Amino acid sequence: MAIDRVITEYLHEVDVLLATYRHRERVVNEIADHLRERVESLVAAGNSEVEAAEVAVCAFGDPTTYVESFKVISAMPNSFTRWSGLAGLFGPFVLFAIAATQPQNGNKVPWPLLAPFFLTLTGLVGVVVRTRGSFGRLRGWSASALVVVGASVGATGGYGIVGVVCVVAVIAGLVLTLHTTFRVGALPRPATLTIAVAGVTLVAMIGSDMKEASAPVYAAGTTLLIGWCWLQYTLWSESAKRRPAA
Amino acid sequence: MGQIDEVRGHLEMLLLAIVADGPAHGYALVEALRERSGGRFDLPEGTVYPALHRLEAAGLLASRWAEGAGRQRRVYELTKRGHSVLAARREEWAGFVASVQAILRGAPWPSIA
Repeated sequence: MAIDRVITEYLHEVDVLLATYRHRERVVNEIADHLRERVESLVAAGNSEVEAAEVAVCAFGDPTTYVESFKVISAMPNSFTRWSGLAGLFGPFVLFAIAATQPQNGNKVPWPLLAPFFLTLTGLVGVVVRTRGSFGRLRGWSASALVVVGASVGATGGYGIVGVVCVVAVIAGLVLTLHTTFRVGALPRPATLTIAVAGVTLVAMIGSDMKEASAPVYAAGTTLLIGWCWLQYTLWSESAKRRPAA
Repeated sequence: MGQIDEVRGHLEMLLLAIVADGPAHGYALVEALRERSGGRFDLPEGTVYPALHRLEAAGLLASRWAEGAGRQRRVYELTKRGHSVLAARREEWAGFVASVQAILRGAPWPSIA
């Protein structure tokens, strides 16, 4: 029927434009319900069905004018980003505290380190979730998966070629995450920039065989930690004061 | 700035006020907005749904699917937090309107003793 064609085409356009929104199906169903109710009301008022469908679609508006508003909602803070911010804030400190008290045991990672290590990773996933509306579904999950899987496998026994692949995966995931976080601007850009600059400096220093205990390495590491804490504190604190625009 | 642009800035407060009268679905809210404003707030209907989702994401509205007129509808209702935010917005708005009216009435400038 022509009425179904008009509405179906409109809903298909909305569906395509909302590709990365996690409540896409719900939105499309809500709009379908709205349009059908409007059509019924217009038909009851004496319009033909086709005319009513066209008027209903026109009154709802051009999808390009409102779909972007849905994508912004994806990136709103929620309780997960809040708690992940707290986890990411304390994770590195607990990690360093435990690492400092653990005896060196060759290449083996002491098990007590894993809990704070995963707390830190939770903080990173929080950053991805906070900006996921702009990441796109695939890019967001691939960034998280690269870091979480790469770091987990690497930390729990990835040596040799597996270790190298893990390091590459973690770096690729971090680059993706930092780039999108900076571009979106939902979290402080200077914090993202601090992490990126300090991270690259640190990797370059370690790569050039600089002594791990040297002052420049400590300085770069501390700067990286400051940027990270800044980002995580923002995640933790912003959910408490979230409020929609007036 | 047109009236439609002006109402967009206050859309969320208006939606909270309408939902405060009882749970309603998107279509009913659009109709209520139009009727209560005497037809002045005739927004493109699509702009109402992102606002409803924003309010829900902020914890001011809750929603659920409900059966109505032979089909499933997403019904919105005010949360406890939504009630308190609406009360605060009403108070802010009343203060704002009173201030604007005082200026528009051309009240005398307070004398400096």
